[in-house]
Amino acid sequence: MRRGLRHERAFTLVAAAFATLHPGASMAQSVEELRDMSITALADLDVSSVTKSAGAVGDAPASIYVITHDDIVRAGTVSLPGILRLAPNLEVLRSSASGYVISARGLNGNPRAQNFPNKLLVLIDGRTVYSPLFSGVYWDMQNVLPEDVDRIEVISGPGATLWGANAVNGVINIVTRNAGATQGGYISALGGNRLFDASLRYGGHLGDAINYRFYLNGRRNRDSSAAADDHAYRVQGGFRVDWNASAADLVTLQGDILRGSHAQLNAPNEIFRGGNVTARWNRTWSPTSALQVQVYYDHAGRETRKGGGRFRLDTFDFDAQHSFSLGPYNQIVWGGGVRTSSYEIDASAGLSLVPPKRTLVLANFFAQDSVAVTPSLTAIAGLKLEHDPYSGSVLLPSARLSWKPSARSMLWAAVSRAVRAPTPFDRDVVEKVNNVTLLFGPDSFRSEKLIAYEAGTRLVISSDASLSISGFYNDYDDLRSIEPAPAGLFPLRWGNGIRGHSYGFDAWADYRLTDWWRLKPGYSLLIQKFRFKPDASGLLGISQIGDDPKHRVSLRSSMDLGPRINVDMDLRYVSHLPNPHVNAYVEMGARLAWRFVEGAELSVSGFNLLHKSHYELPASQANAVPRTVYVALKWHM
Amino acid sequence: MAALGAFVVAAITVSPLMAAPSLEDAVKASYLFKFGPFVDWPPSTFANTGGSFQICISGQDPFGSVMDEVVRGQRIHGRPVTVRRLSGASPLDCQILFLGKPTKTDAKMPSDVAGQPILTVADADDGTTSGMIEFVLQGGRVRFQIDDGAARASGLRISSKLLGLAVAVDKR
Repeated sequence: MRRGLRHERAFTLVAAAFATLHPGASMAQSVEELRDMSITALADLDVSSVTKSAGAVGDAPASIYVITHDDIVRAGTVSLPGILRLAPNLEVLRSSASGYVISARGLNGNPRAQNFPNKLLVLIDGRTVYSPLFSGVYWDMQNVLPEDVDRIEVISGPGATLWGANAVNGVINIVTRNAGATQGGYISALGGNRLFDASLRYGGHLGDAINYRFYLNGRRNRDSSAAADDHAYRVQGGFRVDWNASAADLVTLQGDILRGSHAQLNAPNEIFRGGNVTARWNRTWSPTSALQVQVYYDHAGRETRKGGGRFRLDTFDFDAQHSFSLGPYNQIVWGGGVRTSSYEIDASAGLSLVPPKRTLVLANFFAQDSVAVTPSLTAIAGLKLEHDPYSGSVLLPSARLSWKPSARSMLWAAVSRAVRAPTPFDRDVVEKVNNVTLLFGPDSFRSEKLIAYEAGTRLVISSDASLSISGFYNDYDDLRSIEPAPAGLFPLRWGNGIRGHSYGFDAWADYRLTDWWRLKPGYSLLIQKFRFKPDASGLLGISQIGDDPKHRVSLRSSMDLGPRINVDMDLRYVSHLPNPHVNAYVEMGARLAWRFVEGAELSVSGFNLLHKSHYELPASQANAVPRTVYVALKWHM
Repeated sequence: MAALGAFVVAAITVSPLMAAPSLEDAVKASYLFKFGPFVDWPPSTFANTGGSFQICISGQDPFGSVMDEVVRGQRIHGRPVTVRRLSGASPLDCQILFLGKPTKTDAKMPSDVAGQPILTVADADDGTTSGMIEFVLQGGRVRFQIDDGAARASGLRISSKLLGLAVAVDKR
């Protein structure tokens, strides 16, 4: 199981063992943002609202990219996957107007083999949002107001010891702002050839200690093309209340409610509903001593009418963690949690789960010690014991080493073990055609396993330039395959017949050419070598593990033309997908924003401008991605 | 590998930047820049600034590089903004002067600026310095009070909008 709150502090505290590489990173609001705020908004900003030492996450000994609030606002995208494109260490491929395939370090799946990207852990304010039914994420159900996001931490590589079993190839940790930092009224509206989106938010405070905000968002995606029937709509509302109960205590209550639908070619629309509420208590005794207790409830449901199947899922989660210094050299983080996920599935014509109704109980306990071996060398050892309903207890260890020869450079290395635990889709699924069982999930299906070897460096080359490079070698075993019946072919069943390795690196830099021009290049190399084990059938071929590009290159440019005009541009190159084949492409985005009065901004944004449309995934499973242009107005009051 | 080695060497030899200021200090630095448009200075005060608008800091500097980042590429009253740390130098060509906690060399600073058209700003809880505008912390928020009487006596006109935002205004 993957924990909710762990994210908030555990990694932060690990990171706090290292000196800050990026001065100023500990501020939630960037200097540019403060400067551009109206003087009344400045007067309303709760300066005590910053999560203490949050910025230190950027110094963790892992391949971690932090998407900042400024990056998000300047990118002009409103969908969460669009925002995630800003992270060079994520592979984000669009399949339909509201559908995406998102993965890190490959293994993005293959719908033909019913293999979906299922090795990422995604958290929104400590709440796990991937589905325990198949370990994948319904991206159309996840949304945040870009304006309210504080930062998104994207970790490529395993985070299993600290985060949980599904953090196999990466973790996406979305952190929204404390309500004290989102005071006042805000409206935004945008419209263009493919997308309409409108948001409303109001933040206020009750006395000195309680800040709150509530928001409403509506969005409509038009069809990707005249031939594609994939239009979608969604509405979402929510709130967040932060109570500074004392100097050491912060109590947060937040929740969202949403619904939406998207069209499907030759099928009725698929409808989704969701709602969640989270309560969290943080007590901070000192920068190295803190306690966090969190509980949340989450409801999710999806349905295709006219017998197309539906499910509902209710999750309760409790999590606690404590960190403290043990003597001058040891920093301990320990904690645990329990989650129950109750689901009920009404089978569609072809797919059912047996039993259709079940409660999964997941529990974990973990501890990690950061040892300052010398002032510049830190060793981190962690162990997690996890109990999942299908494979029982699993041990997930990791070891990391961080060396900081100076305040401006860090080298790190890590070895970790992670598993993707079996899900109902792996163990309980039954697929039928004309009442004949075609495929089922056998009890023999085991966890998919990874041992990852990583090393990297982060350098501040000057006050204007920084660089990060992270290399990896991933050794996988027991990946899911499709095997025939012992005698004959049908019914097919899942097996653990694939093993192999992948290697490559993620690199990115941040370079300020002048006061007004900043460049952010990024590059990812991914080489995958997988094979069937000797006793595997080899059914459907090795391409079922994923169809990933080998090279991804990105370049973003941010220009300030005077105090009122921003020009942002980005280029991205994605090499071809091998099997099924998809052509390589270069695409471009651009945005021109004009702050015409204080607090108000008018902008024109264009995405995928170089082609009328292009494919990011095979045409058999995805619609072409069209050129998108819109005009947006944002107003802070 | 050689290139990587060179990077590491370069990184080690560069001096570390100052410690990161708190959000509170960053908000105060933003205020110093934001106050400008709400105040009118006599034109003569720009005679010796080389056309620039000068934000000065005396005594201890709590802002570090954040103050420079705030004004990067910005203008106030149509003039490019420069930041000067006085470290004992005369504040007479400054338009805005933040009075940090006194150091030995700046001990006599406040009396130097009395009657000059310089908008002085200080922390209210400092105790050792007082300015026309003083920052106060209220309910986790950085607010300010204004001594409009002192500003007028120095030839400065503070707009009613800024006075309206202050938690207290001393008209004298």
